[in-house]
Amino acid sequence: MSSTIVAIATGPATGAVGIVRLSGPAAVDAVAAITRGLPSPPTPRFAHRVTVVAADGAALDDGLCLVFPAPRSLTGETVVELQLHGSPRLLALVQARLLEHPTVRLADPGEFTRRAWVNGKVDLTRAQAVAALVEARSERAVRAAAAALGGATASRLGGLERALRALHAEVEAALEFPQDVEDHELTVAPRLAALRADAEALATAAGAGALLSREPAVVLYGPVNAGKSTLFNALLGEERALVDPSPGTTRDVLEARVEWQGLGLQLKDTAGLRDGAQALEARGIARGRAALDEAALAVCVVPAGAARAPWEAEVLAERRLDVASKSDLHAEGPGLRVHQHDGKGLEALRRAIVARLAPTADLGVLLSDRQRASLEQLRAHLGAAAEAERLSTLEVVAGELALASAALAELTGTGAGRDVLDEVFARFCIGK
Amino acid sequence: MDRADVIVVGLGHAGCEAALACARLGLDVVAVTLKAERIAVMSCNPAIGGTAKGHLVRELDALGGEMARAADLAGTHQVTLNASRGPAVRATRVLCDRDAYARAMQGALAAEPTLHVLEGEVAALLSEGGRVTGVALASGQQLAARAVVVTTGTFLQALMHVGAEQSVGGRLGDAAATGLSASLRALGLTLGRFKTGTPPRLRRDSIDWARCTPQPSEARRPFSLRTDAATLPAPTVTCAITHTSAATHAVLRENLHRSPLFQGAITGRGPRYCPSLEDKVVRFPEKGRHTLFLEPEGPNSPLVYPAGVSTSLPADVQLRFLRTIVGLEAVEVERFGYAVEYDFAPPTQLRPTLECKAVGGLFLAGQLNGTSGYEEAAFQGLLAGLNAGLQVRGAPPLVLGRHEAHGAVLLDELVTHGVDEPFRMFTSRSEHRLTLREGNAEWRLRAHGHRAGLVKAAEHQRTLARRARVDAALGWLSAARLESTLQRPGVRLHDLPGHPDLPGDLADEVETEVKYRGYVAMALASRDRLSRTEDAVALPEDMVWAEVPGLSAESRETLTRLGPRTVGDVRRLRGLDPAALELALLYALRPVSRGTPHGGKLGKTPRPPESSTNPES
Ligand SMILES: Cc1cc2nc3c(=O)[nH]c(=O)nc-3n(C[C@H](O)[C@H](O)[C@H](O)COP(=O)(O)OP(=O)(O)OC[C@H]3O[C@@H](n4cnc5c(N)ncnc54)[C@H](O)[C@@H]3O)c2cc1C
Ligand SMILES: Nc1nc2c(ncn2[C@@H]2O[C@H](COP(=O)(O)OP(=O)(O)OP(=O)(O)O)[C@@H](O)[C@H]2O)c(=O)[nH]1
Ligand SMILES: [Mg+2]
Repeated sequence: MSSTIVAIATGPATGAVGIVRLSGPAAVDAVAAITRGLPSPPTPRFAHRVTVVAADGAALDDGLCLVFPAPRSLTGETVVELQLHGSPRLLALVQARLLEHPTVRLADPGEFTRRAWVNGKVDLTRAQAVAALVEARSERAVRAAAAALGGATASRLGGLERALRALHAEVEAALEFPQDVEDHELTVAPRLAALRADAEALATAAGAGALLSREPAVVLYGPVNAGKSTLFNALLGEERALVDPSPGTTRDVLEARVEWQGLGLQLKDTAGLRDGAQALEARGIARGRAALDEAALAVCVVPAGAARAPWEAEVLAERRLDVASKSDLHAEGPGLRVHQHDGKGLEALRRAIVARLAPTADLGVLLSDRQRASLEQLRAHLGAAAEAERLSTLEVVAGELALASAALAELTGTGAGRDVLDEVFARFCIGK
Repeated sequence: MDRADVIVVGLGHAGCEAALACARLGLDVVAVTLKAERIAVMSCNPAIGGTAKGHLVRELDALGGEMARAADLAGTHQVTLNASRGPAVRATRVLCDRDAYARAMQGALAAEPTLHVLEGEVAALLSEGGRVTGVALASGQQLAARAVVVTTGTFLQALMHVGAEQSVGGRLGDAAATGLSASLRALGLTLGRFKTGTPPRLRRDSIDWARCTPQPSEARRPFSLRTDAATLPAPTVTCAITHTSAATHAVLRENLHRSPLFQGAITGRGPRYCPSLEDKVVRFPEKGRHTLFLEPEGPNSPLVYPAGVSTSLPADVQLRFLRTIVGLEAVEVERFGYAVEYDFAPPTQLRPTLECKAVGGLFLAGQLNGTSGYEEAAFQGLLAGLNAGLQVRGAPPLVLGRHEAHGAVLLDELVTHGVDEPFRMFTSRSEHRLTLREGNAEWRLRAHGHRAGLVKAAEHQRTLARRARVDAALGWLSAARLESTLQRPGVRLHDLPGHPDLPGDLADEVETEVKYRGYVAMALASRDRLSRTEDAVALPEDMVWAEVPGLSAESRETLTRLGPRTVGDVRRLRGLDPAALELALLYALRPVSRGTPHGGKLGKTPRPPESSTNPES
């Protein structure tokens, strides 16, 4: 990789410090060409005081310059960081100056990480985490991506992989060397149970992770005039939707992004449901139903005291949260009670929504769709292995473990050149 | 100059099967071997079969080979391994009378009118224009042939080690072959070096059998389809089990410095599944004792083979540690254990028929190809001999698919992946393990043997008739809606009311096919899914692996040489570091939208399928 890449490493907003980062063989040259005060050669990992100059020699800014020679750097290549004042205009100017160097070009999104990964500085889950971090929009998503970047996902998958390989090796050792490994020495059942629990937890975490990358839709629905639009506005804290005493006010689906307890959501208000709606209103209701079909959570809004059953029947209970609106008008009733006009019950409703979508405090593991499909395969084969352990023979258990290993290898993106026999020979005293 | 259709060099386990296969095709065969009286000698353990090996023997038998039959004739003791662990891993192991086994095989050779055995050493292979034309013996005699099968086992440049003492020889009591290695090299083949070892032989009457746990034989069952169960003699031998002790391990540890392995005097690589006892003690210090199986070499043989104590320590140390083992306190050693180092020919130089890529008509089989074990050698011998014979006759070769036989997996692994230690077959090497059973080898392979000309019509008919009985029973089960009942754990065919009357082996087959149906279908579906998703991800056609940073030199070399086309191909390659697969995935899945000029650094830009006619590319 002969080119050198440059990018502004800090966010687009104005801040106290802004960083411009370069990686590649020409990093030092490029910086030396636009600064005064950088010794040649620069001292590795030392903060040099430098002045960045414009093409005509005029000083642009004073700052610090740090040089991390290859391979002991973020990317494994020579990395130079310029720490300047955090003005976006200034940083763009400095970047443009650096791009005047013939072999320096602008980095592609995620390219620093790609290079780090290619040079063996981070593994695939971490490389993916960087991509997720770049796209993360809610606080939780940022924290989950940061955890993955710290290696949490990698170590979690690594743990699962080690346990599965060890168990598979134990079973194969018994099958290939029956005289060396006897039945009573096998510990398949408990180890399999532990593996299944880990895979289960991973699936839950991956579900939570999926919420973070694809912000879930929460849809308010219910009969006309139930107070959905009023509730929508109250939850947003602004007057987005038109509210009116006449039924059938809302027609289009209204959307707004909210972030509660760090979790980003798409909140939607829909047309009230009723029979016998006329053409235009009926089209609005159809749109509302379509939104309802795709909702991660449907909030069934029915005035307190009114019959709920017909409206609740629209959506299965596991995807539905029941709310009694206009609780000021009726003293009793089931469901979460809200009084939109004075804000009573609103915070409880927000908390209930977040709790339903993200039941654990687990930050979530960020997996791609492809990886989640592999995880499902892994769980299916571990389940089949456990069943075979009770009802069938050890060779069937071994077969399912082999398939589980293949699924896990697919999930982690590794697995080339891994042979269960290597594991058998390394772990077991076998052979004559 | 004398002529033959096929010359077989070496009459070990590979050579015997090769020579018999050619002769049974009706060809003129000359088999040259160092000593006629040593034909089909078992160099090591006097047992045929075992895990995966029993499968090979059954497959060999179904194809028309001889090994199973010889084991039936010479068997003295028999066990079924993995009896309770499933029908596909269940394996037969027959202990033989060493001399009777060799006699049985020699008898089979003598019965072939077109097979001539010649005592002598082949010193060179003759060739012309990239094709083998015959062999030259050390005596100066030359023989011409249209194909040559070389099966010289551990004999090429062989060196034996007992402790620090070294002597030239491929096996105790035999010489080494010295000329042939140079001749193979001259033909363009590369050779490597491996080592293997064998334990000491003990005097039977010096063992205190009463202090060991007896291991009696099971009732004898035929290995070969050609053997009538009623004619099988009763077991004649009882084996025994004993264990090493802390005192044994202490003796070994104190004398490690005298082992040629630990001194580094042996440079060839030995098999991991056949570690020496000193190796086991060093690597698994937590294991307080190791098991020994004491196996008499025949009903009247004065010798006992102790399985589990391979060693290359000096004789005095061997005797000292043996005498610390329960039952062996007063043991006398007839022959000390030793290790052999020898040349082998890396089998990636061969086609799937075991013919050399570089030299037409030259086939290699057996331990020469870097394998270990009689059964592995015999299977290769049969296929190499058969394919040599078919080539001479102008007939198409026989290459089995991995789904058809463990033997096919063996050959495929050898020629596509090569070996980095003496290669032994394991059932886990097969992705089709559940369907490659000892019990169904007959139906998997007899038709192939018949088509090739090794299995007689009457034998083939018998197999078809047996299959018809299995199919009829399966039909009855389905009509009576009893399949799910039979699938329950513990339910046997004869538990079902009105069950068809089948001999035991056929009833077993029916039960297994029904009980495993679901698992087999699931495994197939899963493999399909895996290959669909990964094989669907194509790599750029002109991917330049050599330019990919972060890959080890070996990975780059392997990837460039084998040119995987999809991510699935990459995963199936062996010996790659995991990063190679990650890289292939990332590269194949990376966004191609922008930055092609520099994004293409890893390889050239992937071409859309149709654009290959584009003059620019
Ligand atoms: C010391 C020792 C220890 C072993 N230990 C094990 C073990 O622990 N486990 C295991 O599974 N296997 C072991 N084996 C391997 C097993 O014996 C072989 O794998 C098997 O016998 C190989 O069969 P083959 O036909 O390839 O060769 P062999 O059985 O070795 O036969 C080779 C034949 O070729 C002949 N020959 C050689 N060179 C020439 C020539 N130039 N001209 C004419 N004839 C020639 C020889 O006379 C011999 O008959 C061991 C072998 C030895 C020698
Ligand atoms: N007393 C009382 N009135 C409410 C409350 N919430 C809403 N309303 C009134 O109920 C009427 C209908 O409210 P909307 O929010 O438009 O109801 P909607 O469910 O969106 O109605 P459609 O869009 O027609 O389906 C308005 O007059 C609101 O002022 C509440 O908590 N208490
Ligand atoms: Mg409304």
